[in-house]
Amino acid sequence: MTDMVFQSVADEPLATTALAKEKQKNWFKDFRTRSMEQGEPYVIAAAVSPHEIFHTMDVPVVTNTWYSSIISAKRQSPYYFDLMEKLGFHGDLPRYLSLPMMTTLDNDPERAPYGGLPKPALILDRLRGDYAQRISTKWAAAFDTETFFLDVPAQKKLIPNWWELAQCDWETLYESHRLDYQVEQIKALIEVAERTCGRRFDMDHFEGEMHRINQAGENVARARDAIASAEKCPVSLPDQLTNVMAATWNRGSQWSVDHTAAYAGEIEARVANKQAICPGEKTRLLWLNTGLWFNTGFYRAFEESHNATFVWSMYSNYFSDGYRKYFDGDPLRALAARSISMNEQLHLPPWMAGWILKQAEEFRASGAVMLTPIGDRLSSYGTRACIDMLERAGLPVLELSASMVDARLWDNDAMIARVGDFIDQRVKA
Amino acid sequence: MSLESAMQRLDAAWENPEGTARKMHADGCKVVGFLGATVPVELIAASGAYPFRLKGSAPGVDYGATDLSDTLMEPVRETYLRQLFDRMLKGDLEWIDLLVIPRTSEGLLQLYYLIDYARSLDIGQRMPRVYLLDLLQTQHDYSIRYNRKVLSDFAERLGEITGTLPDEAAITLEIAATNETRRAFRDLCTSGKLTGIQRLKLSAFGQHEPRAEFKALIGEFQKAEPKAVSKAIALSGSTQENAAVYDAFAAHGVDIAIEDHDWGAAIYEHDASLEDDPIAALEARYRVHGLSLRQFVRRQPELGVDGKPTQISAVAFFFEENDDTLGWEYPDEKTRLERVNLKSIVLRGPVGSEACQKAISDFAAQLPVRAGGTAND
Repeated sequence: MTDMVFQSVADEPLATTALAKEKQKNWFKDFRTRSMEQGEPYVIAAAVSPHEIFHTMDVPVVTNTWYSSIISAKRQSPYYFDLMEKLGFHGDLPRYLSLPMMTTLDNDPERAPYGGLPKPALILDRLRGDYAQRISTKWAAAFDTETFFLDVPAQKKLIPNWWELAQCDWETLYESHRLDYQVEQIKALIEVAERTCGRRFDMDHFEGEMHRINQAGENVARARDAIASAEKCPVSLPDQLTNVMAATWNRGSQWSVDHTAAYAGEIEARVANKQAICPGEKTRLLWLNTGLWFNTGFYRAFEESHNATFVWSMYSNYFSDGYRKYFDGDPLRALAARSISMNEQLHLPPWMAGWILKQAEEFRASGAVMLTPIGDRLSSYGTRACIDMLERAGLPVLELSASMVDARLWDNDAMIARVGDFIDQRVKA
Repeated sequence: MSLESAMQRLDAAWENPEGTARKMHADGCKVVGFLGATVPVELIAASGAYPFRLKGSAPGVDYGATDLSDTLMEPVRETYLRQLFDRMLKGDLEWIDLLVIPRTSEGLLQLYYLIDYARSLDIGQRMPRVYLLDLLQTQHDYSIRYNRKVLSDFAERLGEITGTLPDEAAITLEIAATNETRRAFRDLCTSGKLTGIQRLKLSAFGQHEPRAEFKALIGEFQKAEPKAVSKAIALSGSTQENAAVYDAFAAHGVDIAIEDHDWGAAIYEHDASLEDDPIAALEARYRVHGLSLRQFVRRQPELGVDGKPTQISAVAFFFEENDDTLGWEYPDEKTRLERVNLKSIVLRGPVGSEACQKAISDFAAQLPVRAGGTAND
């Protein structure tokens, strides 16, 4: 009965999705012109590092995981993994963060996406595991460039429901002694950035960036609320990822504010117009842990067969819940708060599971599929305890062991069958 | 003590590495356990507590399945941590007064958080009291300042446990005594009087047995004759709690003359300065030279604990299953070692697998036989 009222937009991506793709394409063109042809400095940085410093200095930032996902999406990862083995790196070494380095070691611009990355002024990495320093050191040596490693003091106490404190009471949440350290570190980074990039860091400009990130986060929160409260999911997960990630990579810009506003507006209009990607939707699912970058179509494989939609992944609204940091005083301290516990919030069991349960409740999801990465111990940390917490709370979870980027290890038919069985047998509509 | 009784004592501790600590505890002494090779034992000793380092399992003792830990811990985690966590869930380590977990590897840090979560469950009610030692290993000046505060806080926590706040004088005394023992052990290691297996056992002995006994054993082994070896190699890579890799090579006539893992002789390679403030000295010693997965500059595996080249013909790199860190350095290390005429091989765990055993056998057969002398001649 309800199905009849909803208009299907199953095959209609959001208009903002094309704009987001266009933005990224143009960004890369601009980056190539400036950095490769005109020799302007640029920086390679970890996703969980303070890009804002470089945005403020108008220095392009290439995120290593973004480039990794591009390599994967272009289905070139098998070639680079074979190369990795030929060079003597054993098969258990993490693949997600090492793919971009392999394009540099390969030194074949004809093969590498967009012709490969030119020499950066700096490689910035955060020591969230034990191997980041080893990959980045090796990569920097191949480029003959400098590295900066962001260290992170450990969180002593994991206060429950981090998202309730993360935006306004982050001083309490992240522990003052850690923020003190991080502010010192960011100041040191600014000095290195100014030296290696030859640009000056302007505090006023930076403060404006920080406010704009909060504004964009508010727009993503609007989109989140619209999707969560909609009777039927109005936007596909791949659309969500494209729009929110483009805004994330371009955070601090006026474009990101305007784009997220348009994104939220378009979703709200779909909800008002009773448009749904799966009008017969009966089951809502969450996608847990990192994305399946080489096969984002997988998220939509269960709409026709099972009337099941993936409505959420951590990329859907981490921009709103995790990035927003309101401040009255030092904007550098707010930046420190943003970058100091990103990984912990997304991957540390009590914080990770607590946030997921909150999303499950708000998005009315009745099951979740977790990607447990093969060949990446760091990305697997916490997954088992998280599943334990979710199951104890009544949210069924299917664990899929797969590589995030290695298409060679993915058996699509078998995976579709597993998720299908999971929906049939464990998830209540 | 004779050499024979020293050997017996060494073997007894090897088979039961917690025996002495448990007895100390039963006798009323405060016992502070620790994981990894980056916890300043000098501070623990200065507080009056008995420091001892834990293993996941005792050599030769099969703890069997890790059923309990497997419910909460990913199978890709380090074997010794899975075993330790399993034992914690079973209440085997409840008696320890304080268990210190350094954050010098991601696995250790994640273990700390997992213990915290497990406490909220029925199966986690018998966990030991744990302390996170948040020692950073980056070389930034702000990391140094942070670490000094961390060590001062640690000293205070130890004081709460024992009732004795370690003061400068006590810490300095412990640094001096620990340095002296390290030097004695280094001298023994470079004398050629130990086989690789004996060195591994003695190195481990110093981690969980009383310092005075460690010194006494070192003294006894110094009375032995140097041992000629026909084939000698260095071992690099993942931690070795037991002697399985050493035994596998020894079965083919190959002695492991030096190793860089964090249960081997390299633990004793560097002293803490007696010139600095004691907290600053410990901070520098463990930040720079504390063997861990986060350590920034790793030692060259072919060098002895005196920093001089050893008479080895190859380096075996052993990486446990799911290693995500140490293997990154192998291709460059292989090239560097070739320049100094040293062969190398990559071995993947588990050591008992057919593939690993065959690789060891084939590699051993390729090694040149030496005319005589010790690995340090």
